[in-house]
Amino acid sequence: MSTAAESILDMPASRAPSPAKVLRQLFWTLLFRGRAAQQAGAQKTRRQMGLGLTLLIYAMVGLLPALFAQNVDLFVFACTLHGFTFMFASLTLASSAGTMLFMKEEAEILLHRPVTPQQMLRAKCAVLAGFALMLALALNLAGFVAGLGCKGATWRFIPAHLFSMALLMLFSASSIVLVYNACLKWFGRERLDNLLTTLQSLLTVVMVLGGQIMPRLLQLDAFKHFDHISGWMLALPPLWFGALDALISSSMPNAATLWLPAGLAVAATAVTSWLALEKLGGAYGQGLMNLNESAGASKERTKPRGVWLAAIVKLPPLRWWLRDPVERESFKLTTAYLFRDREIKLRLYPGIAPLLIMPLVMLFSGVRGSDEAAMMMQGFATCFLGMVSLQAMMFLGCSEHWRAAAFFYVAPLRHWTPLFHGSRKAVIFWLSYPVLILQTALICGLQRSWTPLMLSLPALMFLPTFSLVTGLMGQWLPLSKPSEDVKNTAAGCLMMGCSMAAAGIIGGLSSWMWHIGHFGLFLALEAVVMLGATVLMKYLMRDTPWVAQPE
Amino acid sequence: MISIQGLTKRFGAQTAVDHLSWEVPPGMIVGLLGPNGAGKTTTLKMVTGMLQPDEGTALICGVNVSTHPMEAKRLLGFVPDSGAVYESLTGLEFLLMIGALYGIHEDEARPRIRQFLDFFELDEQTLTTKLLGAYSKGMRRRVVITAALLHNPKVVLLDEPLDGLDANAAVGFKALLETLAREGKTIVYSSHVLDVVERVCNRVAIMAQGKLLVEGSPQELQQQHGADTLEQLFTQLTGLGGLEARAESFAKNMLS
Repeated sequence: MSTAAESILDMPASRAPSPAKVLRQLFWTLLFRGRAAQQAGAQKTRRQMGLGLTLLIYAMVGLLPALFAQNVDLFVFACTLHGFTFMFASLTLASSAGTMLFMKEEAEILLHRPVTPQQMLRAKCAVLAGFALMLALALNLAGFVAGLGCKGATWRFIPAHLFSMALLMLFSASSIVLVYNACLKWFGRERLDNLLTTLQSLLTVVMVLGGQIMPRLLQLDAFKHFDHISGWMLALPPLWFGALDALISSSMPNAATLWLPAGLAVAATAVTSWLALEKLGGAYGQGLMNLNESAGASKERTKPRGVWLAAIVKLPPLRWWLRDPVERESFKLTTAYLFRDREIKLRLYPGIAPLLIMPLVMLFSGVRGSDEAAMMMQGFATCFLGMVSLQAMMFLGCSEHWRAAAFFYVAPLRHWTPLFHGSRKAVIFWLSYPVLILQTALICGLQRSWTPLMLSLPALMFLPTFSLVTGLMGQWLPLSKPSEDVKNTAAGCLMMGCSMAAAGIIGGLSSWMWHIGHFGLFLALEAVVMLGATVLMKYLMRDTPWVAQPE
Repeated sequence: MISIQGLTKRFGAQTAVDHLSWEVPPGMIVGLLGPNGAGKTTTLKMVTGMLQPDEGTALICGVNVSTHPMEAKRLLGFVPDSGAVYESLTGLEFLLMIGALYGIHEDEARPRIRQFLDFFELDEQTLTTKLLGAYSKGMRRRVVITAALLHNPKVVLLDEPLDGLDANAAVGFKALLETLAREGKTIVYSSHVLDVVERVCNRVAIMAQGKLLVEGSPQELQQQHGADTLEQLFTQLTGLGGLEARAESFAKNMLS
């Protein structure tokens, strides 16, 4: 063995490939592979298919703005395209950027190697911008062709839109890096986690809300006649880049008014890139150091954790609801992960946030008061919250810490159901009911009526029963599967289908019964049905055997 | 060689490393010992440039880590205790990427990696087809060690390097360290496993509460402090005496 070691030592080092290129290749590979793959070769085809499918979906979504192209002013159309691109590509960017910029162990892998944090940051930003550009190209594919049919468009639209789109993606990537970088500089790891979760949830909400607002914005006169660009519209980045398109590619009479927004597009991209990569580039290194220091910094905490949780489970109503000690501990474990674990938070909360948008969607759709459509929508919206528990249970079944589930297998437990019920109850207590209350309060506030409060009662009974559905799919233990198992789109679609069907039935029935004046009877009947369904599902679950730890 | 002068690191109110001054000459394997939270890993991370010291300097072969981090980093190889790797890369991809960061071209890195492969008895098929996330702990540790030594560093810092290695690999690795030391490399070996440190290291340094308590050859130190073994010396210096009596009393209470 020592001979081998000596021969290694004899070898001199030679020419240097560029670290920037090496890092770009590395981050590109990591972005596409994710964490799921185990076999490099076997997963390659699946990854390529996944990417192809994503691009196909983006191309199909891109058909939507392309439908607006006929007889529309080129500037308006370019703004629509950039609006869609900004919304969809930036959202994907925001979620990918978080994982890429905050790789937990990265400091231990790279910080002691001869690369600067700025080099790492630039490489990451380049990869993110490249990825976003790829998505944007797919999204704009139909728009490139349709844009030629717009009023005042020339062939120059294609290169102009390509240029402005690349600029927009650079602007998006550097804006996201700038925000994350600023967070890294000014906040500690623990606060950063919360900030990131909030940021991603907000971005999801903005996307859903944007989907509702965008078509209405396009109907505004200001958009139809671009020479009336008002001050507030200058705050919209898609408009800047749309102006750039129109300025380069068309021969419009009022082109002078486009110079300001077009100039803003170029200036904002330059300034954001400079701030993100140069001005705060050094902060990235410091930020990575902070991540590295987190173990030491956490020693500062003097208050014991979980005191409030230990106290709350001893008080009614939780004391009555969690009589089984295993259920109680499972409730506490799940609660801790719901509030503390970054992975769970980043997956779960952005998924739940759009459900709160429903009341606002109702407002935009103009359904108010006590008409049947409004009531049905509310009934559907509240019962659709069943999706919260299904989604949460799906995420909570998987974790990076899945190996710790070995404790469940070695403990003398008779069955897995107490662990399941503990987690399920935590989800109902901390997520389903609070979201229901918040949603109902929003609807009450927006409609200035107490009726929605009554209409939320069917959901109050429905949600705990519906949360049992996960247990029917087989043995469920908290945090017991590797994180990658969560990426099961088929299960996600099935969940969505079940929730929609159940919400449609309960929501529809409750609004109908309200209108025919038998809402009280409906509530009584629902209580009986839900009780029966609960007993049945619990009985079926008890028949699912306790399986020993899988390989 | 490594030269540390007044190195200090604070985390909030807590001082993890407190004005540490220490010299590690070339051609030596120096064991860095200390109880949990003594400041060993923090010291190593400051020497590697991963953590910025609040005070003091660390020099690697005369190069200041704080002012010339790139030059200093080229001179050292570090095996972190976490054994962190990019789990979505294959072992070969990871090692080629690390080699490239040190300026080693792929054509040159491949034969070097092959030598490490033979030395550590790593399966080539696994290294090229499986992603690191699917490796066993021992295999992953071998890849991390290879990544630290691939560029032939002058200074090698090891934080619990044997964690996860089987007995054969551990024996081989210890022999490799001795060879490296004979070639004039400076090696710092941080571990909790005292008998391994005693067997592998020429000198030991014991830290507690961020300070260097003693430094010298194990025999010298044992003689100076009237201890029969390194373990006895360690417990004596780090104030954890009477452990056997405590364990006996605890076991009795637990069983009663």
